[in-house]
Amino acid sequence: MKRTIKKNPAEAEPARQLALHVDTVIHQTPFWASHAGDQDDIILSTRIRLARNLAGIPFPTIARREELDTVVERIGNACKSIRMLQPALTVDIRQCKTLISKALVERRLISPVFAESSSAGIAVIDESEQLSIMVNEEDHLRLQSIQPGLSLQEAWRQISRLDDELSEQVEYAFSDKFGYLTACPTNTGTGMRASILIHLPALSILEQVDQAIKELAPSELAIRGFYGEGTDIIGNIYQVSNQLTLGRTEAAIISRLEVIAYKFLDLERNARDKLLHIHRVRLEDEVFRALGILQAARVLSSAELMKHLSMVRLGNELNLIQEIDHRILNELMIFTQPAHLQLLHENITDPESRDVLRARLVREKLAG
Amino acid sequence: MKSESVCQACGINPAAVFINTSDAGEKMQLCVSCAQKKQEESTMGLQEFFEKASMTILGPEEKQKPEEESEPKACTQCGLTLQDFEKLGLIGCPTCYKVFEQELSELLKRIHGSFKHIGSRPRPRRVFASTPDIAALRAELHQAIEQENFERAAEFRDLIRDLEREQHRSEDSNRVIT
Repeated sequence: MKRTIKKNPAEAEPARQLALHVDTVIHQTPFWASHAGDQDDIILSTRIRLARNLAGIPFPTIARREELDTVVERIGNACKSIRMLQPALTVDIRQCKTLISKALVERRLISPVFAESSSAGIAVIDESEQLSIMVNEEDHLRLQSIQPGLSLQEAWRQISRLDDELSEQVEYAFSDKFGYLTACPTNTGTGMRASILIHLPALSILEQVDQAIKELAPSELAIRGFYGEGTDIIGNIYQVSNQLTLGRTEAAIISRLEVIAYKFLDLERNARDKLLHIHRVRLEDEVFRALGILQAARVLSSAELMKHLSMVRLGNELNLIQEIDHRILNELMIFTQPAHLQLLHENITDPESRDVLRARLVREKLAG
Repeated sequence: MKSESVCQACGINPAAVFINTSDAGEKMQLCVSCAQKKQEESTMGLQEFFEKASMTILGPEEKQKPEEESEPKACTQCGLTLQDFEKLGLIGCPTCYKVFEQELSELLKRIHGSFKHIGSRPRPRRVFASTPDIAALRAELHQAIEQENFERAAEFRDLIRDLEREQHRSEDSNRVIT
C-alpha cells in the first residue's frame, strides 16, 4: 500500500495548557487521515459514539449550573487517570475562541451544537484524535472513536475500553430494562451510533447513488452528509449510520452496518469497473478536468474543492493519474476548511481571501 | 389537555407525532407507522425526524384519565411532565425513566421496535455483555413465534445469527466483542 505511517507529534506535559495543546491539534493530521485502513480506497473513516449519563443528575438540558459543574468536575477528574487519554487536550467550551471550536467541529471532534454552548462543558481529546469526549452536550457524556477506513471492530474495541474505564470511576445512569438512559429516546439502550464515511464517486457519475441507497439502506439506517446530521452531501461522501439503539446488542448493530458497508463497497467497485471498461473516456474526462481545475484555479470555494477532489481521489484509486499519497488528499480536505484556513494563516478575514488562499494551497500540493 | 387526534394519512391510528410538511410551517399529525413511511421517502434520518417532530407520548387510555386534568404527573426528581417532554423532545433525568416507565416503554417500542435493552452494561455489572445470552434470546424468539409476532421473531432470528457469527469471528481473531 502506498500510505505512509506518520507518528503523531508527541506532547509531553499533561493537559491544562490550553493554547499550546489546541495549537498542536489544529496543526496535526488526525490519525484516521494519516493511517491506512481496511477498504480505505472507498471508506474514509469509521466512527462510533456512545451516549452516557451520570446516575442521579438531571440531563444537561434541564440541569442546574451547579449540577453541570459537578459533571464537568467528576468526568474531568476521571479522565486524568485514564491512560488512553494521556496526554489529552481539555477544552473548556465556554472559554474557547469561536474559531477554535469551529475548527474542532471541522475535525468532527465536537458537534456544532456543542461548539456554541454557553453552559459548563468540556471536550477531552486524546493526542491522536482517535478518542474524544464531550461533557454536557445533549447527554452528560458523548464518547467517540474515529478510525481510518472500515474499522468498526477496532472503533468498538477502543470506545468500549474507554467506556469501561470511565464506568469504574463514575456511576452511569443505567436501568436493567432500558439500558443506558439518555436525554433523547432515540439513543436509549446502547446509546450507540456507529457510522462510516463512504466515498461513492463512480455511482455518482453513473447516477446510481439514489438507487443504491434505496436498495441498501433499510429504514433502520440513516444516510447523511459529511458533517453528520442536517448537513449536505459534499464531494460524494455519505455518512451511513445505525438509527436504532434499543433491543439489539452492540455487536448486532455493528454487524448489520458492516454488512451494508460491504454491499455499498461492491456496488461502488462494480461501478468503477464499469466506468473503466465501458465508459473509460468519460471517466478520464471527469478525472483530468477535475485535476486540471485544482492545479490551475485561482479562487476555490470549499464546495468546489470537495467536488473536484472527489474525482481526483477516484482517478488516484484507479491509477489513472500519477500517484498521490492518500494522506495528501485527506489533508487537503481537512486543512482547507474555513476555520482551519483562518487559524493557520494570518490575514484571512473574508471568504474571498479564504478562497484565494485555498486555491493556492491546493495548487502547491497538486503541482503537476 | 389535548383532544384525541387521528392520523391524517391513514385516518385509523391515533396520531403520535407532528411533522412539518413544508418550510412554511404546515404541520401534519401522523401515526408512527405513517410517519415512518414518510420518513423513509425522505433521506432524513430517524433521529433528526424525531427531533423535528414534536413527540406525543400520551396513549389514548392515558388521555381518558380525568385526574390527569387537574394534576399532571411530574417526575419526582426533576419535575418534568409529559407536556414538558412533548415541548422539549428530551427526557429530563434518569428518574423520569422510572416515573414514566409505562409511557416511555410505549414510545421506545414505537421508535426502536423494542423496549428491552440486551446490549452491554456498565463494567461492575458487565456479566451478560461479554457472553451474549443467546439462550435468553432464543426463548424470546419462541415467545414471539407463539404470539405470532413474526416481525419481532425475524428480528430475534437475525440477532441470534449475528451474535453467533460475531462469536465465531471473535474466537477466530481472539478479539473479545462485548
